[in-house]
Parts: sequence; structure tokens; C-alpha cells
Amino acid sequence: MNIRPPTPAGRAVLALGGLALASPLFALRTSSNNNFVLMQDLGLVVIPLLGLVAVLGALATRRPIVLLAAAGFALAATIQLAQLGRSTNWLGGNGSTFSIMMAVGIGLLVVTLAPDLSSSYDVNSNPPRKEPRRDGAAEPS
Amino acid sequence: MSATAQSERDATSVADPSRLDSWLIAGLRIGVAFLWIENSGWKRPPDFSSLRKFTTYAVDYPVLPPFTWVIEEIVLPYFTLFGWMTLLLEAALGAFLLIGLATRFWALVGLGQTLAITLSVLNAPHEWEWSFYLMILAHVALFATAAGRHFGLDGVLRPGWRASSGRAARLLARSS
Repeated sequence: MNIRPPTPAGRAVLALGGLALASPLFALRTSSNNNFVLMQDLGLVVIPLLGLVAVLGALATRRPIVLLAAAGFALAATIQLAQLGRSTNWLGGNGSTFSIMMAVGIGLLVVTLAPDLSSSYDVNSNPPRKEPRRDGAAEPS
Repeated sequence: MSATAQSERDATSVADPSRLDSWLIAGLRIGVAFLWIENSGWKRPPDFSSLRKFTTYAVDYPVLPPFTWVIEEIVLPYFTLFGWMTLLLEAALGAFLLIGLATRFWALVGLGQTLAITLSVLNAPHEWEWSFYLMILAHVALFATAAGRHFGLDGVLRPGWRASSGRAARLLARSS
């Protein structure tokens, strides 16, 4: 897909990268029972850094850079999963951290590798309206 | 404004959600996603002790006898495998709902997982039954509104899936 913002795909990459960039905010938990995503240790650096790479890739319209970020998230998620419950936990996370990295990694991968669609439109703004058929028959669903 | 014009306007607003509607639907999807994300955090290998405690409630405080039998005879003897499956399932639920990819499919998966949780702990002490009913209703709402099409990847990718004749694309279009 064309990942140049403001195409829908470009904005999606920016949103996914932006989520990762903002993820250190999850470290501002209000209690041990209210943390949404566990962010600490190396995870506080790696996740936003990969998000920054994705954002820069989208802004520069460089698909390989976004793919690199996606691969980085996939690798980080795999490491986190492999180290869950072990004494060695490089990223300092738990299942929630794994879930966030999986979300951003899969999202970036899917958007970047999806075939380009020149007729794509933004469903959140104003999708093109179909003209009513002149013969009065209903449009096929 | 005439009654006909008002009626046409109402019909349009239902079929074509406003930007506010889209934001609210996306907010619901992201909120439910974080429910699963946060709760995948306390499923800790290798023993999954907290998850085991709640799963045992299905035996100690049975809700549906056949479900209790499954837990007692199949799940608890192989609990480590079950714990990993639960962790991966709930982490994936959170991830896919968060980005809005194949959302209707994952809403159904979430509904199934919620039913399993409900059948495990509904009769346990100190549980509020409406928390499970609300979870069920939230997933029904995600499915009914095709929530991934509102500020989600389904909305970005669906036109391509619909234009494609490939089997995977058709499947993704249906699951979005």
C-alpha cells in the first residue's frame, strides 16, 4: 500500500508508530492493579525507539524502514514471549507487553505488505456515495 | 423541516455513521482490547498459579456440569498447555482488537472466551455476575458495529480485500 501520509495506510503506520512512541506513558500507572501495559526496564526504550523508526519510515515514504520496524517488533515480541516467567527478562515486560508489541508489529506488517489500491478511500471521512440506479432497482449488496 | 426530510436524514445517519459515532465505536474497541491486554499480564508461566486458581472455581463452584467435567478431566491435568493457550489467545485478542484487524472474527473469539470465563467463575464468591454479562454485550457490540472499520485496519484494508478475488482476501473481508 502507499504508506505516504495522509493516505489511510500512511496514517495507519503513523498511528501504530505513535502508539509505540507514547507507550512509556503506560509506566505512569496509578497502582499495581491498574497498569494496562507493563512498561519498564529495556522495554521503555526499545518499544518507543521502534515506533520512532516506523514513524520516520512513513514520513520518508520508505517501506523498507517500516518493514524493519515491524521486524523489530516481531523479534522483540518473540523475545518477550520466550522470557515470560523466567528470571531473565530483558524487556522487563509480561503478557501485556507482548500483546502490545504483537499488535504494532502485525499492524505495520499487514499495512506495509498489503497490495496498493489506487481507489482506496478513507472510510472515516467521506466515502464516495453510490448514485441511485435510474431503473429503480435495488443495488446488489 | 418536513417529516419526510427528517425521516431521510435519520435513515442516512444510521446507515452512514458520523465521525463522532466512529470515534465512539473505536473507543469501545480499544477499551475492550485493553481489557484483554491488561489481563494477559497476570497469566504467568510456567505454573500459571493465578489462572489455575480461577479455573479451579469451575470445579469448586460449578455452573454447567459438562463444562465442569471438561475442566476437571481435560484442562486441569494438562494445565501448563492450557495456560499457554489462554495467554496466547488473550494476548492475540487484545492485539487484534487494538489495531482493528479481522475485528468481527476476534469479537466472536472474545465472546467465546468470555463464555468460558463466565462458566468458570460465575458462581464463585465475590464475583459480580454483571461484569461477565457486560463483557459478552461489549463483544456483541463490536461484532454488530464491525468496529474495526472505524479508525481500525479493517477500514484501511477492506476495500482491497473486497476488490480481490483471492480466497484469503475474501475471508478477511468477511471477518472484518
